[in-house]
This record gives sequence, structure tokens and C-alpha cells, in this order.
Amino acid sequence: MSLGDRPWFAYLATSVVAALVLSPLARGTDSFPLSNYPMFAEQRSSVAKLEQAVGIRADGSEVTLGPQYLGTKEVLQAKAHLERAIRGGGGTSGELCSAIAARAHEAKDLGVTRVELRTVTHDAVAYFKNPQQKPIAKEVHASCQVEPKRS
Amino acid sequence: MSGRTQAVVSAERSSLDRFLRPDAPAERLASLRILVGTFAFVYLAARAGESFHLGTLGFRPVGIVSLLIAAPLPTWLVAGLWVLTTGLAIPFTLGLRYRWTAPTFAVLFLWVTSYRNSFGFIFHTENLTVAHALVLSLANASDAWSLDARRGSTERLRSESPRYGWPIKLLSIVTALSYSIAGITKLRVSGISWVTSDVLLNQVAYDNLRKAILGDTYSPIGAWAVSHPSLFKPLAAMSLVIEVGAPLALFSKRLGRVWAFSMWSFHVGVLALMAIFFPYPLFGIAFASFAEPERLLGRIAKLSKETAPASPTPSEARSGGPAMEEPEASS
Repeated sequence: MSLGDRPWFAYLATSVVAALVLSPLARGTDSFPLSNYPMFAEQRSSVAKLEQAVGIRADGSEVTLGPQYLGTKEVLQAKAHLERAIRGGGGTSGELCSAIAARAHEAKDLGVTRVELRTVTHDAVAYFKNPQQKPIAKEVHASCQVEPKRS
Repeated sequence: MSGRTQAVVSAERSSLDRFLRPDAPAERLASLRILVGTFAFVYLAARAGESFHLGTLGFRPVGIVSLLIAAPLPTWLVAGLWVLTTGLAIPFTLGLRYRWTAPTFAVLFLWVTSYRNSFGFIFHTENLTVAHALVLSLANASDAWSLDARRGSTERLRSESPRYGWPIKLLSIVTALSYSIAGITKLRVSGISWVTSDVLLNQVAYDNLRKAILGDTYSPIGAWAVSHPSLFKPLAAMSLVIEVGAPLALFSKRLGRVWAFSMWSFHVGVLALMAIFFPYPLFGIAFASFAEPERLLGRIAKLSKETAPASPTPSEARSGGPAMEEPEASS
């Protein structure tokens, strides 16, 4: 008779696993792999403050620098990197700005001469009615030049 | 055990026992092993590149990683563990020396995904896959359709048995509870206003805005939908009912299938409105324990045999059955 045939083993495994899966409800925590799945749960205003990395070309035109310029493919990880660097102040935001500028320099077609880390405020619902509209507010935390590496 | 004897034994079991340990065929559990293992292998292989370069920036350990280390691991070790885990997904899927390879794979899978989630943001796409792999690693999931069975190193029961039924039920319990928790958290955090106010509208608008501002792809359907706010309250009510009511899916096969289809449709909606791709539920693997996946896999195996030009193998010639049907050991 294998362990899988024994009722007590099935009951024990089921009880322990179910208790573990339910435990984040009691603790109110989001961890891995046990989570209370808080995403999309909170009340959210349509007005949102978001951090972004922007590349500025010589002619003044701008391009948003996506997650790959922040060293990840994941947009949420990119957001977390930006938030942390900006929260950390001048040193950390400057460091991240330089790292992004180095990646932007490698992407030759981009033609970016300067990188800025910003916080922009938009009305999310209004934004999609007119994506060209200017942000409600804009704050620049770090600005750095895109320069070739000196060998 | 004959069918009649088993029927008598089943009748003597309590209703709780029949609920937690229903009878199921070995092939159903084996199908789930194959589906979860194949998904894990492809997922790990696809994520390998980025996972080798997690670096050290923003390390915030979660889960078992937080219990064991406080600083990031060297890249060679991260890459080595990822490759080892990906490699072990193969014997897990094929059911090779399953008693050892399955728990080793499941624990390593837990480790590497926990480590990947330790850089500032938890991806809720991996939780269920990892939990399902851990459950399957405890079960006799290689009694059929496996290399162990082909080698004769498993003792497969001829008929349907609780041995195969309880892990399947547990997979369903984990799935249903996880979705239910997501619904309960919404009620706890926002109350019923999650349905009656513009929470979902603002969430969809915010999620797409975040992607647009961060230079990622956003959903054009979501961008269109936010201009039609009346769509969102019915959607919010439906999704909350499906999530909170998930445990009901455990009480009948029919309810289970209706719920699984509803939940799958919910993920299709999330993909359409927010461009968030949850591969495990969208490919149906998260909900396979509510169905009879052995029918689909059996059909695929039969089709591939029919289209293959090869002559019958010696085992087929002896048994007259398809290659996936190993000789059965009696209970």
C-alpha cells in the first residue's frame, strides 16, 4: 500500500495545503506563492501619479523609454525600479538615469541625447480620450546626458 | 479489486471521505502531471534569459527566499539553479523516477520562482503553477502514462481509486481557494463599493495608463472601454461573484466545469481590457483538474499514432492497445 492510499495522508496533505493557501487572508499579506491577491482590490482615483523615463532628442522631441532600458522585460518591475530610485533621492535616481542613458546610447536608432526621470500626473480616463494631452503635473527628478563611453 | 467490491467499499465511505478522496482513474492524474510539467518546462525555458540577469538592484526577498538568504545570490548560482530546475521538469513530466525527481523539481521550482519574485514586484502569474507542482509531487502521479510505469516500477491500480482522486481534488481546492481569496480581499479592502463605484473602471484606466507611460504595450480595447463607463459595474459584479463563489465549484462536477469556464472567460476579459496575459489559466491548465484532461491527451496520442507512419511497437502488438496504455498492475 502506497502513502497515497492512506486516508490520513490525504487528509493531512489537504488540511495543511488548504490552511497554507488560506493563511494570507488571516495575515493580510502578499507574498509568494502564498498571497492574498491584493491587485486591483484597492479604491483608485482616476488621477494617477506615475514615474517614467523619457529620452529627449536634439530637436526636442521625446520618446518614452520602455522597461528594456531599465534592465527588465517586465513593466511592473520597471515601475518598481523607477519608484525606488526616485524615492532614494539624487544619488540613486542619478545612478539609474546614467544606467538608462548607457542603454539608450547603445540603441543607435533612438537618437536620444538626454534622459530624464520624471513623475507625471494624468487623469487616466481622460488620457485615453486624448492621449496627446499634457500631464496635469510634471516633476523632473534626474536628468543626464547620453554620451559615448570613453575608452 | 473488482468493480463490485469497489462499489461496496465506496458505499461504506463517509460523504466527507468521498468528497476529499473521490475515485479517479490513474490517467487523469497522469494527464495533470503532463500538463503542469510541460507548462513549467516551457515557462522556465522562456524566462531563463531574464532570470539569469536579475542582478542585485531592489532585492526584497519573499517566501522561502526570505527565510534562507538576505542578499542576492551570485549570477552563476542563479543561472545554475534555473537550468537545473528546467532540466528536472523533464523527468517530472515524463514520470521518470518520479518519487525523487518530482519533489526535488517542485521544491526547486518554488525556490527559483520565489527568487524571481524577490525584486520588488510579485508576479501573481506563477503562484498557482508552483502550488500545483508541489501538490502533484506528493501524489502517485506516475502510475500511468509515464516512464516509471513503462519500466514496471510503479504499482498501478486497475480501476478508479481515491489514490488518484484526492490529489486531483486538492488541485481543485487550491485553485478555488486562491480565486476566492482574491475576491474576499477585494471586499475587505474596498467593500461592496468595489462593484458600486468606479473602482474597476479606474483600475483598467490606470493599468493601461501605467503601460502607456512606461513605454509598454497597452490594450486598445481597454482604452476604448474606459470611454464607456457603464460597462464596468456589471463586469465588476460578475467577476466578484465568480471569485468569491469559487469554492462552490468543488461540490459538483457540473458546477466545477461551469465555474472553470467562467473563470477562464474572466481571464480572457483581463487580457482584452488590460493586456495582462496569465498563461496558466488562459491555456486552461489551472482549471484542468475540474475536467477530464485524460480524454484530450488520449485523443491527441491516438491522433498522433494514426498520422505516424511507423509500424506497431512490440508492446502494442502484444496488447493491441495504444502505446500510452502500459500493462496494468493489479491492486
